[in-house]
Amino acid sequence: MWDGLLHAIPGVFAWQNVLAMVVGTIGGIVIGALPGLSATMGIAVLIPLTFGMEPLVALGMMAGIYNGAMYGGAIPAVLLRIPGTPAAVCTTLDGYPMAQRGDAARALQISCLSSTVGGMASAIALIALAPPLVQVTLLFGPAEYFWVAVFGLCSVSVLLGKDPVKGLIAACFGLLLGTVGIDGVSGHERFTFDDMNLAGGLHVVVVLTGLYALPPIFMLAEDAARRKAGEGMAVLRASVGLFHGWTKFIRTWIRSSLIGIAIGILPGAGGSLAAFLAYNEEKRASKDPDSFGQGNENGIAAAECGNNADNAAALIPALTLGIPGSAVTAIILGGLLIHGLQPGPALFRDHGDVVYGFMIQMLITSVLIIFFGGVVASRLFANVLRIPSALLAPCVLGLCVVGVYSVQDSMFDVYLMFGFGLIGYAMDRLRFPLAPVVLGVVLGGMAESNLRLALIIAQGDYIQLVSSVVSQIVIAMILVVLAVPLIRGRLAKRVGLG
Amino acid sequence: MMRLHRRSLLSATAMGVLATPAIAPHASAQTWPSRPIELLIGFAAGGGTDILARTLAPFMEKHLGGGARIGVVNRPGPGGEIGFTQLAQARPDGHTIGMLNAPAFITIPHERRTRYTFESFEFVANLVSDPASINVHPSSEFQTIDQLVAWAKANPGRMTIGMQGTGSAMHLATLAFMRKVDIRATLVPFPGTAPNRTALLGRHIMASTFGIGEAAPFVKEGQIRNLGFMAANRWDELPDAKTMREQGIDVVAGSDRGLAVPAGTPTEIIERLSTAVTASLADPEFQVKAREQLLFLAPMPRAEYRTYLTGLNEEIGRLWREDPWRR
Repeated sequence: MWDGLLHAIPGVFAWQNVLAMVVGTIGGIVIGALPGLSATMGIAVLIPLTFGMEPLVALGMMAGIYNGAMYGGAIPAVLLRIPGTPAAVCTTLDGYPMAQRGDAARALQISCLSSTVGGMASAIALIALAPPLVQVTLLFGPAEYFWVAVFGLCSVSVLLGKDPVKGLIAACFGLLLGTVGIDGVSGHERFTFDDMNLAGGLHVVVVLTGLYALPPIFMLAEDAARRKAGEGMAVLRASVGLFHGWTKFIRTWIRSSLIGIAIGILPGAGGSLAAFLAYNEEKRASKDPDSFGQGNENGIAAAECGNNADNAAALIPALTLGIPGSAVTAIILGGLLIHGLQPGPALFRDHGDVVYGFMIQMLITSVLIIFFGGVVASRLFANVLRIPSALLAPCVLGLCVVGVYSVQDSMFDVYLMFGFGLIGYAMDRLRFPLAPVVLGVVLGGMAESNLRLALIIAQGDYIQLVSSVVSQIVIAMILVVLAVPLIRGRLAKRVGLG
Repeated sequence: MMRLHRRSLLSATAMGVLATPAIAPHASAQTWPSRPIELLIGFAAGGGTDILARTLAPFMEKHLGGGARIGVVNRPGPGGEIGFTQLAQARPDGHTIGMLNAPAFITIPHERRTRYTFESFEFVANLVSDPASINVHPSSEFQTIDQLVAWAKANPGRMTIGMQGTGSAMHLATLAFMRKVDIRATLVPFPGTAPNRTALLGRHIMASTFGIGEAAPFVKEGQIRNLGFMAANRWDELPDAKTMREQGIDVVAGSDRGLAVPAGTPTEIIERLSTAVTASLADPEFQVKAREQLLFLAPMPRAEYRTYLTGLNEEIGRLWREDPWRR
């Protein structure tokens, strides 16, 4: 490993490659910040352009986009309560209240620092621990994945908001949306109304942008009508230094990085699940859980650290086994293939310098986020809130339309987005939380298809769902997560009575 | 529900209007191509079909000559259906060509109502194939395909075989294999090749069907044992892998990717495209790229490709009527 690393270093620091990483990171932050645009799309657009490039130049840009976009998603999440990427949903929960208080710049700095820490931890895991960690990946079959998805669904409990019944209804709505499309197991169409545009299912980015981005735009418009044009919304407080008070996040970062890496090595789970679980754990471990959702700084740190820690770890099964765990890693594998790098077991031996170079690039681009995200972007973007609502609303709407159209080059998706926008607006007005919907869409399909695959493999024998050690460990974790709040509640009551 | 229904009707009408070939003077084959040619594919950028299209495009430009330009356009949708539909509905003037993935484009119209049929296309030439292969974990007790078949016969329905998606090329290939050797097994439809292969590597299933191209890197490293693949001939990239035929099981199946144009495209243009494909596939530079990407080249000129697909369409139609893979 050391040999490979040392050989790779001169290549990584050639000026073309450094430039590629810088361009990629800045591009990634912008792509992530625009609702609807994601790293997947950015890298997909980039790939045809990389045909003539040196592999490391192309891969450096991909690494930058991948890491940058994961942080960039936090920017609109904090400022406008619009998650730029699905994984930034949890960032809205505390980031937006902070921005409303005038602490937008501070919230962005916490996101940035946490993204960097998560990304670095993950890249180090990728460089140092890829071979042993990939063995863990193989322990997970459909039964184990089913339990992981259930574990993720349990984090719904922290997303429910003040009225659990409404929260659960929202979660069920998300699960229902997740069933639309051709069911991969049986091949049957569900809720497609004979329309081929629905046969592929609802793309999570389309649902997310509709539900999350449009209601704030409508409200901005209302706001603009109420106030005089030309007036900005929020008061901005000058931010303290980037590294101010960072020690209080150390525990959060360790916890969230580990969660992100663990989720990363499981193909198919993804950054959203990492952020949901990290946020859930943070709230559970906190002494003051009620402050979550009101602008708790640790909440932002957990979510952003968790989703970036998923990034490089997701490349572990991708590079060592050729198993893409997410849309974006699949595209990156495609990019490798174009350069004649066949992902799989022989990759490290035959193209060690390029592969280790790419891993180092994942590490460096994580650090670059501090410069371009923390120092430059946070101050710049925080000023978005100074833009008068009457201008901001149509601009954001335009970006949403372009972003959603580009997901699958489909106008149908744009109409869908508007439909979900109306639903989201109604839910907002009726005080239904939105996060459980996204959780349902992301995890419902994963839970369902893996349960059915597991039962097919077990030939209908339910006992086999709980027969492996890995399943039992995950189930134990689920029970702990579910039981702790109950026990705590009991104890608190007893103390209160005593 | 009512609203959705009306909207889908509306969009259907709108698409119909857009798709009606405009009443325009017939494209002249002499001046073709007069603008860049769109190469439509039904899958997202970065996937296997996309990479093939983007690798091929510059060679097609070179061998078509005359400054021809080809741009790859991705129209991803369920199983490629959106891309196939757009190709079928495009103006047949040679400026829209497309990649057809067989048997996917053939099975979809049998399974559900579509806005294109088999007759909507004129077939240009086949490019690559991916013969189905049956694989086991290296620690498996099955050393040969005969041992696997014998076990499956002794334990009807107990063997778990992973494959990609119900109705997929690999599903149909597995069914063809099972019919040939007369076994019953439990088929596990994973949502893609990657999770299927992962489950095999983790020994969550007993055997697994996927393309030989996707098996090759693992077979070479000894992480997967290949028991045979369903092609007519052996493959240079994996010289030790045996075909099913030479092991006494006469089944040839898998997936194919070739070029097509909308029906009604002038014959001269189709011929020129077909010639350019043949020249591109024979181009040494292209062959280097094909080897790097482990593509199983299967050149088939126009007439042969047409006959092959017509036969495949009849066979799949018969299968669907007799024993639909989706109930």
